[in-house]
Amino acid sequence: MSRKNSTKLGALALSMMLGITANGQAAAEATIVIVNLDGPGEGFNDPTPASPVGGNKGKTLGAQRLIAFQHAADIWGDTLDSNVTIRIQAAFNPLGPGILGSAGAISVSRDFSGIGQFPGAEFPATRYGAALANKRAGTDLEPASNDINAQFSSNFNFYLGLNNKHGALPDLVAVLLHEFGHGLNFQTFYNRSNGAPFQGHTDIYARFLFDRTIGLTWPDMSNPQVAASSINFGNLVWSGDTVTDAVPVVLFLGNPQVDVLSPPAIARSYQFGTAAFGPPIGSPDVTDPVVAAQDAADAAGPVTTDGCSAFTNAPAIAGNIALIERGTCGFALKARNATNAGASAVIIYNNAANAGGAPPGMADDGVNGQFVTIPAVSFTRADGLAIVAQLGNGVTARLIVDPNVRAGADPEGRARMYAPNPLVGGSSVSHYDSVASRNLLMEPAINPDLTHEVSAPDDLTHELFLDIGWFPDSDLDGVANSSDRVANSDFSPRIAFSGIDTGVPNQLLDDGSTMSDRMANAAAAVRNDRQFVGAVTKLAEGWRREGLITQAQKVAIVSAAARSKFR
Amino acid sequence: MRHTLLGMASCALALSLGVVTADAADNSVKFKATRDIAVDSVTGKFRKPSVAEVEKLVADLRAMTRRPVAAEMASTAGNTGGITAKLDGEFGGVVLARPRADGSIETRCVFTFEEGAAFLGLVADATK
Repeated sequence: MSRKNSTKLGALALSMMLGITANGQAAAEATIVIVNLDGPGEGFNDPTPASPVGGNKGKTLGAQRLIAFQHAADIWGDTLDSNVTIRIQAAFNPLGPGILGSAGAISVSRDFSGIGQFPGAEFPATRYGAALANKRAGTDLEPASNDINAQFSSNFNFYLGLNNKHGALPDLVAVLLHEFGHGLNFQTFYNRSNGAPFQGHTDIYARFLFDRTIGLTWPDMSNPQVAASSINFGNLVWSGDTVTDAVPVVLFLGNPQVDVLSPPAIARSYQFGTAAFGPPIGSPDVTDPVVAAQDAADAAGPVTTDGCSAFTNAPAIAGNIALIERGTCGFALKARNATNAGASAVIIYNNAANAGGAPPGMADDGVNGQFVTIPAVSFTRADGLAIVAQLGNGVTARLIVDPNVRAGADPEGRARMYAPNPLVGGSSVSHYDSVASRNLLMEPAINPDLTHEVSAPDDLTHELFLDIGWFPDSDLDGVANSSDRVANSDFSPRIAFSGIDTGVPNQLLDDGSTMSDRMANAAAAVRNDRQFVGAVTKLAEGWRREGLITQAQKVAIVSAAARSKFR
Repeated sequence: MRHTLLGMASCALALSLGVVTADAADNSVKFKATRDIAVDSVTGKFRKPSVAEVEKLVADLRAMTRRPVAAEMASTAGNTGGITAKLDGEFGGVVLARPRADGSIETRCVFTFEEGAAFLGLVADATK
């Protein structure tokens, strides 16, 4: 039974560190508090009367906001374990139109060790967000500072209920779960544009970003390689085992994909956007030649490639995949015209005005979408023009659902991260890929069908947190449950037998058990008082030899055991 | 149901938008709105933001997507030996919203001004 000197913690200090409850058992999970930064009469303190909504019983607008915040915080608090209180400083302010709010870590730390049995940073020269760093250090690395900053819009009409029945309104709890997720380290701190890590050091999130094309994780790449990886659509995946193990129970089989099969010069899988109208990809699978649609250059559309009028080459389009340029009229009208021409599917690529844009999601215009009966997808301009350039050689494409690949995972079953190409500025890799199905909390869009669950089988966020070091620790002693000899230790301040207090501090040992745990185990393994005293004596003598207790303390332990009633 | 397949940019609307270029974060660049993203306080309906509202939006978005330059410092907690960099409330995700054609609201979490401006339909105003 080896022990580290660092485990020689006084009972009082141990109790304080672990947040011991009155009965000596540690309170698991994490405590997350909202630090209200709003002034009188504003934000969380807004006195505007409010009626209860969806389980939120606050009587003012401000109170309901605070209750929703705390509710979201408690969901994370019930999910994660930390012996350090997580403090989210928050305020509601008037923000520009369209801005709902923001949250993120207040600081990042690297190269910290842990106190007692807490492991500290798992990797050197690797940044951790404040809350995760504190959890692994076992102490607040910046006690004068809060851990997460949140600012939300006071002039936006959120749904403030707690029951997820938000209707058409954005659900504040879901938005907060997402943003708090970033604050809890669901984010990288790299600059995606140039591939540089923040101030020269990688971060724990980036350590799990794996590029399938070059077979490297981000810390092992050069900056240009990272920049290329961040737009390697479909090929940037999460390498953590916990997420990968959960993928089969979270993501559905059936990955939609668009592939060009020939000619070889452009044959590959393509990034695409989907449409809010018409059947989805795979209904049915389509494999056909691609033909550029031609229409009149008229008032409906000034060029012959925009598909805004009835096609003039409808016979050539019939039974094939129509290729149309974006612009002038809506996506739904273009797709309707393709349907009318007998196309089997339609690809709409970005026009010059959107040359730098990613493939857009295509909304219905409320008029034409109902007449679209073929799958429609969007492409970047570069990809569209590449096809145009090869039409003379005969281009064949397919729009299919691969039944063997999960939506949002790669063929090897790893979760895909959001890496759109061309670069849509920002750290988009700090999200799961939006092709995921079911929808995930940490996709870039906070989809209205999200639940408030953050773990498998409903979600993959908690699993990612486990991968980056939010290890389960039920008794908050710094030893992960998986290697903790006693996952719910007895943290009574002093060793005692049947109410007889030995006066000897109850110390945490390096296997996650305490001296009191060991005494209880000894009691369970013997059959009478004599054997019990013998087992206690053996344990106490071992601790004395290792310098954990003094001779006098050993005597006190053995004496108390001898005076106690066995069991 | 949660089976809806969403494309990688499934929240974009049909209308063509201007491109936000790399100089978008340049404070000297003026922007104009191309989308109805402001809620009219009288009608409750979405409309294009006013010039003042665009200026407020641009200022807020710039502030919330700013990247920190703070120097590292030794952690104040004893015996842990850590090095900490304060982010000063920066480096966070920013959640944005805009109406869809059917009147529902779509959201997007972004990390840079360029990404946010593109989502909200802000384009550089060549007349200013």
